[in-house]
Amino acid sequence: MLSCLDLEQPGRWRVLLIGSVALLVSTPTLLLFRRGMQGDLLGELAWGNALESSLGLAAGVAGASFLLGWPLGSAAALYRFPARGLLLIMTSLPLLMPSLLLALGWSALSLATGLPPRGWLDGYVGCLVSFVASGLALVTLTALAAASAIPENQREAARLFGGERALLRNALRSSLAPTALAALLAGILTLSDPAPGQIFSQRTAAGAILESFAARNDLVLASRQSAALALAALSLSLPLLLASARGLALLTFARSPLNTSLRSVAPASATTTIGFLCVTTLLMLPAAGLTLPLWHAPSTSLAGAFEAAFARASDTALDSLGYALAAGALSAGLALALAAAAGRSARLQGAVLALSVFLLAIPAAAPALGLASLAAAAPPWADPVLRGALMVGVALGLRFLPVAALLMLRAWSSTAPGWFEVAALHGISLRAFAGSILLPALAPGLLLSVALVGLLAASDVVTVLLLHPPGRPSLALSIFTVMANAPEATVAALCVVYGAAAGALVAAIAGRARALNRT
Amino acid sequence: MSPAPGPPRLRVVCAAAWLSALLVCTKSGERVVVYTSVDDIFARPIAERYEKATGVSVLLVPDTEETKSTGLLNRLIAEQARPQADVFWSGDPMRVAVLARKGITQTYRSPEAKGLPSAYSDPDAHWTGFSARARVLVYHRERVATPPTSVLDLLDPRFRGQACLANPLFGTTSMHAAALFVALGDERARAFFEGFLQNGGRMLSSNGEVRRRVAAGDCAVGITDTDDANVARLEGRPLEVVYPDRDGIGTLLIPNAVALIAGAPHPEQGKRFIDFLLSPEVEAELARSEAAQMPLHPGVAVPNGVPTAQSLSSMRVDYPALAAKLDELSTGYLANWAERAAQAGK
Amino acid sequence: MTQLALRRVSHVLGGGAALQSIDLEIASGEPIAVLGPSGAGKSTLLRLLAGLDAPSQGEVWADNRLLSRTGRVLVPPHERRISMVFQDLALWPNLSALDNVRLGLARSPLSKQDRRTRALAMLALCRLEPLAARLPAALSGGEQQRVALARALAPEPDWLLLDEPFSSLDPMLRDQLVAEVRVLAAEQHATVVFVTHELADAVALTQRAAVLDHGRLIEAGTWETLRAAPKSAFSRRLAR
Repeated sequence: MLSCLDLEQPGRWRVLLIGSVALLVSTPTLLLFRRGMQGDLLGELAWGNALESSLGLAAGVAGASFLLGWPLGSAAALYRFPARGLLLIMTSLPLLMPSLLLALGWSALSLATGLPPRGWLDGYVGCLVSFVASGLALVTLTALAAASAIPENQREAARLFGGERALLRNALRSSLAPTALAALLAGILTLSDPAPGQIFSQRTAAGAILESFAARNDLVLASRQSAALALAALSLSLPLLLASARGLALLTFARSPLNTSLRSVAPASATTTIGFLCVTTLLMLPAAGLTLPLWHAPSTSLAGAFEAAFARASDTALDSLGYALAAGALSAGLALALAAAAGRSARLQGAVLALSVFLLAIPAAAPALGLASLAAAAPPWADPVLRGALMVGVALGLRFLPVAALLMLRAWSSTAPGWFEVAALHGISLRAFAGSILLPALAPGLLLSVALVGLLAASDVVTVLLLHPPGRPSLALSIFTVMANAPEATVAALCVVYGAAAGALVAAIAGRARALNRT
Repeated sequence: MSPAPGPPRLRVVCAAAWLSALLVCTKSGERVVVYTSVDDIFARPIAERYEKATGVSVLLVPDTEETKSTGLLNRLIAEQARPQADVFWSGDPMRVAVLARKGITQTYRSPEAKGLPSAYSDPDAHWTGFSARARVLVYHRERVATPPTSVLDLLDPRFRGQACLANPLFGTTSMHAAALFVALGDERARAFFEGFLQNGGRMLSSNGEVRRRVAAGDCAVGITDTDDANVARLEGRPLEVVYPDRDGIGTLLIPNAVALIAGAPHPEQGKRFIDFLLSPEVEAELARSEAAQMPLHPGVAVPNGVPTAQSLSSMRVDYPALAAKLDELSTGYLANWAERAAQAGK
Repeated sequence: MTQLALRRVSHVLGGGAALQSIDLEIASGEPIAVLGPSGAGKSTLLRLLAGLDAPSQGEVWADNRLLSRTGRVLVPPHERRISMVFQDLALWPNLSALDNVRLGLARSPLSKQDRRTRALAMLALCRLEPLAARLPAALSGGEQQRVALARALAPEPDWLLLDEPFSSLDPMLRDQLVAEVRVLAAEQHATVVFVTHELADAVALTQRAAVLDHGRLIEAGTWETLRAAPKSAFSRRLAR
């Protein structure tokens, strides 16, 4: 039985636990991969080109998200500016929106208004602007959280020595490591998403895998390609992870609570406001493209469209919420286990990050189909669990575990070794320590993990399509099943309802997080 | 102890209990589970009508547009050992043919199939065809003075850079591509696809996208399905429809196809639902719906603007042979063509 | 327990030798300071006594009971009747001052009500009773120190290990707390083992000293012994 002190000391249990969790989360995918592992992983040239294209896109998304999100998020942690709360919520909305909707929005906007000109969006650029929205959200929020950890006295010291510029430089330095990591994960996330590539005629690895799944029905080829994609992503990220593992770990996961004291400083606040306005405009444009049909629709059609949208939303609300909450809870729990096992070891934290890269690079269909096969092979009495709504939550939780893992690694590193050691000296049981001290201290990180994973899970279509119990789709899936031939006003109304629900959820979570941080 | 940050224990326990109940509870009562690749907007009213008439719950599992996800077909394949679905209702016969080849369907000769032409069904009774769509040419009425009459007209210089079609690796476009290879022969079909690219033709992600772009005037002409074209018509878009090649190879008709799943959990309910789908009443409803599908039962009334299958000069198609041809093309010529088309489109 | 002893204790930390072949006996009732420059191994020594780490080589004894030997902690920390105040105090941030002390009595046979009473009594002893409901973040540095002290003394330990607990305080407050610790430890019959850089604090609080440098025990003895025959910079300062 583990004691408080064991949580602070090296032990075989750490590697065993990380290995067990890694095996658990990888098993559904490995069930599929084992069919495809015989054969040439690189395959023909066309696949190699698609892989190269995807990696280039991932790098572009990571780079663009980092360059824009790093200064914005860091500045947002320091300065009060007009409509700060609203702008931050709007910046985070793309996390809830499937990239396909953003791609369609850009396409529709270009079609209706001629802006941007059609040719500008073809290929790489169209994919980049579709993906960068959610990458930017992830990176900005990470920079915000990291820079918020700078204690007040450090801020004052920086101001005294070099004014606002020195303070901003300090904030940028503090948030560099975690933000770079978030940007890397944002780039990796694009690898398994075929949608923008399909819309903007950009050949991608994810598109090639989709063809293998959906056009050729060749699961062996698809699994081989998925394995190659994941290994390529891991190989390219590993040097970065290894080279900065110690530094990343120490900086990323430094011990400090969130500092929410903000100042209004004229030029800095104004610049930050302008920056956020530019970013949210970038995000709002495709949203406007999606809702264009509403502006042209006659009022009777409009009313009917919203009535249909609300009906669909209310039919799917409980299940959507259930899937999201289950995914968030499972992810947060597993991430907590990983964080506890990794502890303060840079090597083990690096291993968790490597696992995260691998999981994110795998197309969502792979583990989902693995779970579907597993459920089919299981006896009927297991159906309420293996074929129930719970399994959808499980699959979604496993899919987005990397996001929770990053947050919980940071949260765990914010605990002090002394807490554990004093508890050991006083003979406090692990249960009492966890209940009274550890979990309350980790609560903000846990809540953020549940929220972020829940939001990402709510926008997932592939996993839900492949696993949801008949008759229990999510709202996001419903949008995609009607959008082919439903009246455009209905689809637009559904997007508006979805966006409003997402915004309300983000606002509620932000409020709760603020309340938690104050206590 | 002082209150720690976080919800009180009771609220957490209640929330966990609610969540568990939500996630583990399943619906009870008589039911039939229908996986369908037919657009949800068309399939759902039919399912609701069946529920009302029989009191049996129809748990509909619709698919997304083919390019947006891996699709239900893969779910059916993954569940093969112990299926959840009773019935697969497909918008075209190709997907069902794949399932039949993999042993996922079982034979069923519905009594309602008696009135349906056998040419649209599987000779071994793994699936039955009904209510067809057609592959049509659509054009923007203000941009095209002389309408096209054949798919080969897309190679005409007057449509240079103005023609579009959906990715031929997916959905009904893939079936149409295979049909062209069978009808025209390999050489002429390749000439068509190569000529399309050389004439600046654009490959789009889906039939819906073809409809949107032609309706917006971004493309002058395109190939899509009749249900897509009808949706644009109902929205008042300036889009016209041509049933191509009346005097040539004919218009490709794409019937819906329904199959009973092998090992279905509710096989009798599945059979009743199939019987219902194949009835003239459902064909009439699908004809009246926005799908504007052509009944295959002779004598079923159709609204204005919806032709009957018998009135068209339809392409002669051997659907099982078409499925085999599609397999060959998907891993060969069409895959290569799609890659080049994507490059050319940038 | 009348004596703690380290016998030929060596400990490796981060690839280097933190302690090298230490032989040291600490008698009950004879508070001792552990002195030395940064990196001398002082904190490591305390951690080995507390059972928070196992020595790489050697043994830790309490009277005739073997507490730890090479690579193994045989008697867990909570069974050694040792309390410790860490350099960063390690107060649990989400618990009030009262609850920090009360949770420290987890192993006590007292009832729940009695633990509360005992915790309040310890806070009163440290002049913190009015601040019992406050969280650590709402307390000053000195107040936090006293909470840590109250928590350490509440279980009535035989030994009180102090790892530079006053290093971040101003001199006046430090002197005040050193005096309080001396009185409280004596009242609670806890022998102090005090790690510090500050010679004056060490002399004020303890009767004996052990001087470490680069992990080695340079000298040990009463202040008079060290003053009379200094072998280290610390004891030479003492002599001056």
